[in-house]
Order: sequence, then C-alpha cells, then structure tokens
Amino acid sequence: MRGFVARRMAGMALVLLAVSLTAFLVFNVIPGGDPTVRIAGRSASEQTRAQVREDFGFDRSYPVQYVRLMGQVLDGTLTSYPDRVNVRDEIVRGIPATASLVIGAAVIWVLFGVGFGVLSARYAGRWPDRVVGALAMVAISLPVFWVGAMLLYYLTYRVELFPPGGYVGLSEDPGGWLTHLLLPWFTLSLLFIGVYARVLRTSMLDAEHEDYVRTARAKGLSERRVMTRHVLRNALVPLVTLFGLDFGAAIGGGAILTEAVFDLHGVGQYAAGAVDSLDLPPVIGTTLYAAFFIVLMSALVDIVYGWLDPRVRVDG
Amino acid sequence: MAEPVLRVEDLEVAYATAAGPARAVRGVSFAVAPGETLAIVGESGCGKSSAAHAVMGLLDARRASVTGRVQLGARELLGASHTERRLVRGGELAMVFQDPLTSLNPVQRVGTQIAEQLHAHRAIGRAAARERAVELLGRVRIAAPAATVDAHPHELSGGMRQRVMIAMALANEPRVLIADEPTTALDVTIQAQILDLLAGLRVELGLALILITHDLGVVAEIADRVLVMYAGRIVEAGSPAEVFLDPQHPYTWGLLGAIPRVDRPVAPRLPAIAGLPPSPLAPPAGCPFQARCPHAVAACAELPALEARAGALGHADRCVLSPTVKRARREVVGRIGLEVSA
Repeated sequence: MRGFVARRMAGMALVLLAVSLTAFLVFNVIPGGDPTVRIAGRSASEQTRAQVREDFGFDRSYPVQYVRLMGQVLDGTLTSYPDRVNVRDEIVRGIPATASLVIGAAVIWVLFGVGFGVLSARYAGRWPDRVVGALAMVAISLPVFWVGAMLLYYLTYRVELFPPGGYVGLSEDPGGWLTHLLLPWFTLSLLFIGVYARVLRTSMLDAEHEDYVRTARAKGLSERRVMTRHVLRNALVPLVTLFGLDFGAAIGGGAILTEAVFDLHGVGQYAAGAVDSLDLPPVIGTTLYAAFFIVLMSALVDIVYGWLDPRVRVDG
Repeated sequence: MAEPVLRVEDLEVAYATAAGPARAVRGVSFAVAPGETLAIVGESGCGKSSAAHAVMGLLDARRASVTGRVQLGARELLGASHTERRLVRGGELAMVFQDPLTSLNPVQRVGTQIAEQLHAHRAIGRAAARERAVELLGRVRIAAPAATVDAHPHELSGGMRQRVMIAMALANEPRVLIADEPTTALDVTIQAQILDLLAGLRVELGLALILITHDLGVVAEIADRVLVMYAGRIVEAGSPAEVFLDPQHPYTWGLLGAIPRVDRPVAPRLPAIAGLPPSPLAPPAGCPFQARCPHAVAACAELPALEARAGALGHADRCVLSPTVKRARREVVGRIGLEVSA
C-alpha cells in the first residue's frame, strides 16, 4: 500500500508538470496571448509596454518565465495579470460553491442513475426499460446551459419558486443554501443520471449472463439476492471508474456551464473567466487544481477497485 | 435396485428463437436411484445440458418452454410454484457446472458463497454457517479447509475451485447431484481426482448422481447406466459395458469410433461422423440420425420406442435394424476402421 501511494504521488507530480507546461505553452502560442498588450492597454506607448515587459518578466526566456510562474504557484503568490488578485485566494473562495454543487449533484446522480439502471435492466425490453431508455437519451442530449436557462426562466422568473441564481453559504443560511442549489443540482446531475442508467443497464445485462449468476440461481437464492449480491455487485465495478473520473472533473471546476448559468461563483466559473480574459496565472492555477483532483480520484478509483474486485487488488 | 429418487418423463425443451421454436430436448425419459450414477453422453448441442437445466429449473420461462414430468420423490416439479422450485434448487437437487472459474463469483470469498447457499435454505447463524463451510471443504478433501474458506476463487487452482463448487452443491445434503461436464475444464490428472471424489461422495452420501459429459472415458469409469443422446433424443441406453462393448445404434458406433486410439496405428485423419446434426428448428420425424447414417433404410422414418432388447436387462436402443443386421454391419464398420469422413 505504501509503495502504491508513493508510485501514485510520483505519477501525480509528473501529470501536474505536464499539464502546467502544456497550459503555459498553449497560452504563449495562441494569437492575442501576449499579456503585455492586455496589461498595458491597446493604445499604450512602446515605452510603457517595454516597462510592463520588464516588470512582469515577459522579456525573459520562456523557461525562465515558466519556472518563475511555478515558483509562484508553489508559494501561493500567483496573482492575475491585469488586476493583481491572488489566484489561490480566488480558488479557495470558489471551493464551497463548487463542492456544494458537485457533492450534492453526485449523490443525486448516483442514486438516480443506479436506480434507473437497475429498473431498466430488471425490465429489459419491456415498457419500464423503454421509458427509462428514452428519458435517458433526452437527458444526455439536452445541453446543460439550455436546461439551466429553461429552469431559471420557468421556475424563478415565471413562477417564483426558486431564487434566481447565486450561492449562499451553508453556514450562513442552510435553507437558502438548499434552495439556491436545488436547480443547479438537478441541472448538473441530469446528464450523468442518463449516462449512468444506460451504462449500468448494459453491465447488469452482461453480468446476468455470467456463469456465476447461473450458479447463484442453482443455489436456490431468492431472485432479489441473485440480483443484488451477484448481478448488481459485479455490474457496479465499471461504474466506479466512471464515477471517479466524472466526480474528479466536476469537483476540479469542470461544471463550468452549471456554475455559470446559476452564477454560483465556483472554481469552474473562475476558470472560465480567466480563459475568457486570457489571463495566464489563473488559467494555470485552475488547470492545476482540476488536474490534481482528476489524478487524485483516479488513484482512489484504483484503491476502491481493488476492494470491489479482489482480482485486481493493489499490491506493494 | 432402489426406488428412483428422480424420475423424468417425456421431457421436452424448446427455446423461442426468431426462426421459431428450437426443439433442444424431445421426449427424454430417465430415472435415477440413490447411490446410482447415470451418465448422459452426446456431442455438443445434443440437448444434454438443456435437459439438465430444465430439470434444475434454470431455464428462463420467457425463452424456453419445458413440458413433461420431473418428479423428485413424490413431488412433481414442473408446474410447481417459483418459490417451491427455488427451495428445491440447491436443496434436494444440486448442480455442479463445467468451468469452476467462471461459475464462482469472483468477488466473493469461497466461504461466503457456501454460507449463502446454507442461508437460502435453512435458519443458520453466521458462525455455524462458516463452521459448516469449513466442514464441507474438508469433505471434498481440500487440504486446508480453514484457510481456504477465506480465499477468493482466483487464489485457488482449477481442481480446488471445482472442489469448492462440489462442496457448495453438497451444502444442503442434496438427494440428486447433477454434474454438467464437471471435468471438461480441468487438467487430466485433476479430472481423475474430481471423478474419484464424485464417485466416493455418491457412495458416502447415497447421492443419485447425474453426470453429463461427452467424455466416454469418464463414463466407463464411474457410470452405472449410460444414456446416449443425439439431436434431443435418447438413442441408446444401457450399462457402460453394454453400450461400449455391444453398441446397437449406429450413432453410438460413430461416437465410439471418434475416440482417438493410441493402441492402433495413427489414422491419416481422425475418424469423424460425416455431416452435421439436424437443425433443432426442424428436427426430422423418425430417427434423428437417419440423414447421417450410412445404414439408413426406409423404415428409419419411424422412430421405435426405447425398449429393452430381448435378453438384455436394461440395454435399449432406437434403431429399427434387426440385431442380426446390426451385428453384421458393425463388424464391417469395425474392420474398415470406422467411417472416415472425406
């Protein structure tokens, strides 16, 4: 186990290095990426620009700039170019909203995804399966921004059931926290519910044809026990991988559309703003933050996988 | 012989397919008594596994229709309620499958899988179930039962896994054990051990053992009676000595001829029966083997009943040819080294 953790940590460092390097390089080759113009303004004199270049170190070579940037990442002094706001503080400020959104939505999408998946597999080919299948396709196909906008229009503007976006801290006002998050939760989980229901249906139907399920029936187990302990138990294994990566991506700021539509000011929305204004430091900061969660979740998935399936249990 | 514990009569199994019902088992009858080993032999697709699954009640009622009679003791199983059938499965009627690796749940410990079968049939505490699991593993001659009970299937060898399967099947002291190709997936040396085990358990526990196999060597070793199945029908029945030394049905001749022999010069190619079995979608009336049989006559369009020949106690076959004709034909076939397909 200790060896596993060490290997995973080393791997994580490498991934973060590669991700930051890629973000840095991409930023420096795209047109309009030159931060000098953005900081000094379009009409600034050549003298001002030279001054900016010198102040920010843009006149140095790329390796030097990169190393300096990474140093700032490590000691938490990374600031955005135009307004000199500390990137770490901004990310930390976005975490409660993002975590509330993603954890809540994850609970919903797992419960309903698994529930509908089981229902679908149980009644495969019959009407409950067809209904769930059709709804799942709709849920997967609907764009998140459209769903969010429709909900906002009908449920906050036409009928004032919910507050019109924004985030309220859990500790400040638990009721407000909940009402502000119900629509975002629904919006974010809709797609995942559809995907998980379909994936689980398929893997349950596959598992149902396994020899050990026939054995379970030959043992005289009740149908319920055959389904839960043998079919579902084995069918959930692939879903764990899916969940780990989906959750990692969303908690790392990937729920950009939902956060933006409901104006939650989470990490994703911050990242989107940084990309929009071509501001390198927050782009690097949020990218590393997201990559960290994805790598972390994939390591966790491996551990949980070994627990769910002893054949692949991690050694060392 | 003792009163049969399991009696199957006129068993018919038909699978629903897009092209119509596929008739896998057609009018099969047999009975097996406590302490007796009944072997059902035949090539893949002859319906032997379908018959076993039908007896166990493992066929999906939506995909397969099963008719006839399956009597366990005095009880009729076909037509019994779902719950009644479930309680018989893994209770009085147990089954062991071909591939013990895929037949055991990969994510559950061996002891859990055995205990689960106990819990399904009786009120038994966790500790007692575990104790019984260890005892059962010892009974199937696993060397370290107390350690094996906590192992996962992938940590065991193929032979050990099959022993676990057998231990599981024995959990509730079944009266009938159906073993569907129990040694096919195992190494030859392990095969012998598993057969010994099954033969021993049959005597110790007074089990009625139904052994489904295509391995005639296995049959010769432990069977009391043999049924030869072809295209969903029993074509010949008798003791191993009768069926192997005095085969009556031309299909049985072909089946016996297809065993590679090491005590004879190597044939240029392995002997095989020419042609393919008939489609279960449109099985022929009369003898199912007539299309491939080099000895077929017009009378083969009628299928005689499986009746014991005069002078032979339990030896019966369904070939219309007279015993004299058969003997003459068989000798010719034997001399030319059996039919070799082109």
